Amino acid sequence: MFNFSQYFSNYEQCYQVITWLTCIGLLIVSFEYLAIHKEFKPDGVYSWKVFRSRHNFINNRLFHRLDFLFGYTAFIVCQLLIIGCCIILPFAQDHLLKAILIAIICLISLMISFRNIVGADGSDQLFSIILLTLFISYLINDPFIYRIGLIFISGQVVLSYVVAGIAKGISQKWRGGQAIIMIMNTKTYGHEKIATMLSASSRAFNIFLCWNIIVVECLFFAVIFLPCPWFIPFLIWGFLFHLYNAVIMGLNNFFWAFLAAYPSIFYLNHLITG
Amino acid sequence: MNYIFIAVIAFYGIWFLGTICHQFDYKWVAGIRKFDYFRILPRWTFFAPNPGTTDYHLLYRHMDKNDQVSDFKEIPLHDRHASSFIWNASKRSKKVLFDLVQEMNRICNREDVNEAAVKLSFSYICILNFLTKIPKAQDTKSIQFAIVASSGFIEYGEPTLTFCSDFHHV
Repeated sequence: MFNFSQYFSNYEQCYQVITWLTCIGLLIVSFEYLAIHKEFKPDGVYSWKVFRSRHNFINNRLFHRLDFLFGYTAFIVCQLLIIGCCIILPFAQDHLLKAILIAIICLISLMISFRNIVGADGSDQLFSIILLTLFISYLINDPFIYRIGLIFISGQVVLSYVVAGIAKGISQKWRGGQAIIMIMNTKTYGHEKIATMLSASSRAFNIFLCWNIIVVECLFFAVIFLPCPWFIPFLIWGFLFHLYNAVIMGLNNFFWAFLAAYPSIFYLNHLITG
Repeated sequence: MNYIFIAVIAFYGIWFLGTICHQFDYKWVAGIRKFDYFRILPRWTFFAPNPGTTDYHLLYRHMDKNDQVSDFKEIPLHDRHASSFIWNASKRSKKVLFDLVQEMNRICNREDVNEAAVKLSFSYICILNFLTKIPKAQDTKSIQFAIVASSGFIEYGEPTLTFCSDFHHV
């Protein structure tokens, strides 16, 4: 059986896998944006003509000069650039070339985050975290910086689970077992068959499902301390959790963003447990 | 350890501490958020503490030159395909509309709400701008939109009208 723990004990291999998964995730994001390109025209839902009115810099001269960077044509060019960079990046050998390609992707991603004042989600932010870290690491190209980068990414991911767990733990709806059924009942993120099945199930089963998420998310920090193979169930749980969110709730980008960050957890665990 | 290493460690450390602070609802955190132009400080409280349990529906109707008003039509914000776990392009535009509709709902539920503030709000203008491109009959004079809240697949009550705009010339 493939030994993940041993494989990801090497930071270079971690970076390689993170880069591959990030590129796959970003390619999907970019192609999705291109598929709805019309929405970025002045009368679209992502209209810069309207979005710019919300920025604090609306009267800033520099902001006016940079206005062309956020329009429809520039947006298409930016997405094509991301696609090009994401295709080349996994095969690039030279660290400086990698740093340049990531700098382009990173700059555009940050520009999009700045532009899209509504409609962004946590997966975009996790991709930004990963990209900035990859850029710093490849630019400086030092083993110490590579390691620090992996520790930072894993810290952010562990924090994300623990915060989500605590936030659920203080919620009466989550503790009382109503939260999942309520979310599954919405047409926005839910699923009719699952909502019907959960509403027909016992209260104890719904409480178990909610507490399962609360407990695992709250204890997720243990992945960095538990010796191999005891931390693996947490990562399998996380993988299945994001797969469920992608398949049932349509949150496909979260799956790639979190999966891309998982090698850093393996690495930090190896660093701590030896 | 040279200065670059120290600078990188400090950068990651400040970013991580900023992310921790960003999980709280204190006033000074909202102050920091104002300066997070690139949204690099995530908020990780997915579906908690209060998960969204309401579906919001965006409806619109037209008025023609003879002042005849059409039936309301719904902009689909909720439909998903089986392949959406791999490819979910429409999610992006729906998410924007969903966020705008939720924001409109928040504005309307404020105690100090007034009509002028609602009509001049970013979300109102954004939704109206989007609706102007909806295919319409040639004799369309104006357009109106409404936001309706419902409980989802299993209905626990009647859908409620949250907001109804004026008619706007198109």
